[in-house]
Amino acid sequence: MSVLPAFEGSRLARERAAQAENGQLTLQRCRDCGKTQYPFRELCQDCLSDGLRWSRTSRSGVVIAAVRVHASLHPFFREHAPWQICSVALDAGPRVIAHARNGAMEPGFPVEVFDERVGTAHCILIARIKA
Amino acid sequence: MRTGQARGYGGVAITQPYTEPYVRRSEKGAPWFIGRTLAGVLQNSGVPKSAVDGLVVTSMSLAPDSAPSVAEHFGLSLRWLESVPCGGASGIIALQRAARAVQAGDAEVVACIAGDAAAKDSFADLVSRFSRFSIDAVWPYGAAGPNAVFALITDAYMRRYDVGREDFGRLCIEQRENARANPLALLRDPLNLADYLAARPIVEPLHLYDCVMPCAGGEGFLVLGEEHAARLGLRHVRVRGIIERHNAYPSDPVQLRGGWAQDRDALYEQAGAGPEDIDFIETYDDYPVISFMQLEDLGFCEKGGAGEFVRSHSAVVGQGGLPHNTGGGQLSMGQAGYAGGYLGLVEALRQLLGRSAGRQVEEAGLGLVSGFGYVNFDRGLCTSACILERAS
Repeated sequence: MSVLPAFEGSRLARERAAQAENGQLTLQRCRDCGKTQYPFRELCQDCLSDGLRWSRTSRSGVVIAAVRVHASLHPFFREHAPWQICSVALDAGPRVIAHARNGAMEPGFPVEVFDERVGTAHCILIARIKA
Repeated sequence: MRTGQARGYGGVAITQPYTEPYVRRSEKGAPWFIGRTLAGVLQNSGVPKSAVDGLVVTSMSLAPDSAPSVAEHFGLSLRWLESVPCGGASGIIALQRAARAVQAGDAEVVACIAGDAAAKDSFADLVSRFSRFSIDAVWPYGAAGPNAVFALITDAYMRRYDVGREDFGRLCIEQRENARANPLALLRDPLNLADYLAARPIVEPLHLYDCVMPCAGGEGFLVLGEEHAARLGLRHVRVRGIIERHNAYPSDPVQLRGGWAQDRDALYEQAGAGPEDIDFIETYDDYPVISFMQLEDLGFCEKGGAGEFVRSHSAVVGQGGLPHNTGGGQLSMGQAGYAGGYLGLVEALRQLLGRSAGRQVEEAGLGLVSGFGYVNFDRGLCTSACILERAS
């Protein structure tokens, strides 16, 4: 899926992309209270500490909902529609929205969520049904 | 968690509801729609522009300007100025701020104004840069704007509560029926279930008629003291209760309830009334699933019961059910940016003042309006609701 267009992300998204590794999952974790969080933020949402660090995170999660995108504001997705995305509750705590990689996702399916780099400045989340 | 009961809103009058007619596309800027709306609320009010000493501004397309710019654009010298950027919850929150300012004597006449532009491609630009979280964590997953998030919510809701598309369709169709008598609605052609079900998919399970149509327009009203309104000979509406909540239930995996569920007891307690006393309701209908949630969370039916509720209570004015989105809602009027967050309130004011020709709820005495907005990541963060009463 490296054909995805490069999106303009935040400073934090670019910082993450520099550290992420294909097939692994790198998210922010608080050095002080241990909470893993998403989307990317400047300070820990729980203890407000400046201790967020990019950390290798468990890829396991469960699908919350799954939908099929037919209409998009971006020509890339319009050309490739329909396109399935899903929301996932990660075992590590946070919820993410991810591209559904293999087969039709349904709520309750156990999945793995991992990073895939797009160009040099961006990295997206992919969800794949666990074998 | 309950906190102390809010003080009442005695002595406060709301009046002069005005809708600046919506247009699908316009090259005019947000100040045009804000200024025309201000002119509209002042028209025939007896209040000269120079007597407006308080202003609430709500707009998503006003950048690079903000509320102080509006004062200079329209020659207002204000002693009280507020900006309410809470998306679809904004109208009720603007009313709350304005009512308290009038009660405290911080302002005498507050104009609450929402207006938004709709230049070509502006919607895509606004949506793509909506929030830090959406830039990083929603946009790269299909670039579908709020449709993607609401499709995820709708999918989860339909499965959890065994609700079908035809249940949402019933509400959309009945709202369209109400819109037929509303000259302000952009979409007035009748809608039937076959057309609703056959519409093209947007983000499944959402299809065309589940999604609001972006447009330009404005909504506004005046807030002032009741005695002042009486001196001016302005008929008015009173506030019986207001609630708001931001970031309710943050650990729910998916948004199947909103802040109304947390605060509705406080609302009904303030109002000294319950759902059974409400003559009509205006919910925030960016997507029908959100209206369903409001019916449930505001106590008109049990959680998960909105599908059954809409089957047994017609939303159409004059059919003996519970008149709901009496002007057609945003699904029929269009969504003029954050002015959509004032639309239900402005329509409720018209109803309570007896100015909803062709769709007037008979003996409308008590109306409930609710708001919902600001999808920062995977849910709407802001909820609000108010109960309004016709002044006898």
